[in-house]
Amino acid sequence: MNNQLPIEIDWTNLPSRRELHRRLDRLALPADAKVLMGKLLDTTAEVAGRIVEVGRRILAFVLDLFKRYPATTLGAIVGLTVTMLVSSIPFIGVILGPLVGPLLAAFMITSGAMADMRNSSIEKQIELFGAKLDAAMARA
Amino acid sequence: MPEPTASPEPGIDETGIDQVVSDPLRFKQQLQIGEEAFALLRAKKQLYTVWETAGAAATGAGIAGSSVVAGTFFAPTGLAAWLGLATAATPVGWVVAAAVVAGGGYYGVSRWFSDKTGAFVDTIPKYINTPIDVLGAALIDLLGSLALRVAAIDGQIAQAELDCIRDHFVEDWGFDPVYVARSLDVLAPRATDTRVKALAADLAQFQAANPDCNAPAMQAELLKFLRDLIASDGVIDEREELAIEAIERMWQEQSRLTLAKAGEGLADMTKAAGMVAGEAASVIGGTARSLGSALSTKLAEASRNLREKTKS
Repeated sequence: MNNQLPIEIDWTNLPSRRELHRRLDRLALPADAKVLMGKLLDTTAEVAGRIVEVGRRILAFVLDLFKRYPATTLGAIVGLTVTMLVSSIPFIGVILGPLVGPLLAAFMITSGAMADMRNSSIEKQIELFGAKLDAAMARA
Repeated sequence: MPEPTASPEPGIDETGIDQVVSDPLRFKQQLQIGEEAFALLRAKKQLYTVWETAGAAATGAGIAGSSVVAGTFFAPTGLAAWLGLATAATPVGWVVAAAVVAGGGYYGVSRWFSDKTGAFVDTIPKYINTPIDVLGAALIDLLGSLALRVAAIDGQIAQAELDCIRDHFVEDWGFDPVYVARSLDVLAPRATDTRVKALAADLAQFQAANPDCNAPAMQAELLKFLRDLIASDGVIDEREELAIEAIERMWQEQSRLTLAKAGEGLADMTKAAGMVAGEAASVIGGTARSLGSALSTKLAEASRNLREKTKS
């Protein structure tokens, strides 16, 4: 585990949706939270006539980040990722907006918990991911 | 409230096995938990049941408080009887009792219908709370041990019986065939180490404790499978039958204990319905009191007028 290096984001070799659903099945999470994560996974955006699987990219990133930071709760990672993406990428707020509240509620994430993670290496990873996702959507 | 935690998915590929469950849908179907897997849906269902029970109770209170019922029970003889409604000897107690009975009856009927739904339709949750491979590994240990123990009770485990167990796990449950084969290889030599009742009790305890298992429904299916199992080698030994009967009795006993606990819940629910009915009855009583009060005021006024007229 290396907390300093940014996660390699390989858009061409993303895990399939089936694989991500399988990973969700294997997590020790309340079923309600898993359903919302499944909805996140199924979220797509249409950019210039092309479909971008935003949810699949986010979930793959989140689960990867969770593997690297096992001491951090998955809920905190999910909460910070979606809120940071919504605030940094204008277009994504429209897509993820309806899911953010239920996700935070399902994971019982408080703003205090997320504030604790601010300025951490996790936040830097998410910032980098957000920049790459923004660029990927712009290129689509 | 504590934040739900999850640990990174377990890696189980060190031994060459990368999964326990290969068909998650079939596995989740066998758990028979349906929408009860979701805390939110569970809460909603309970709320609806209480609401509907309270609604039926209030209807019961309305009927019991009607003039027909009041007339039948309390045989009014005139104005005095109506005024009696406003005194301490009111029939409000009867109204509440009728409401509680109506509410209880409704709960029984709705419960009967909801119990029967499973006979027609299987509801499969999209996700369950327990990591699927962890739950699968635990269940294969418990179910496999019990099935092998029953198969071995006549002195030997026939190949046909082993095939029946493997097919049940792979075809019905959706377990990974490699994992099933390895598990049965490990469990079979130790099949006679534990008593049937101890294994059945362990399984029942696990099912009752796990939020993703519908114990009664799973046990009913398992009994069917065990009957198929003892018949699979073409010979039904009396000891095998006795073992299944003992398992059934033990689970019925467990189920009674669970029902007793559920009964406490029902008592609470009826109490809640009774409170709603009590409120309804209190409104009825209040109306009667107002009516009585108005009538006695009018009566007093009328008699005063009469006295004044007589004087004049």
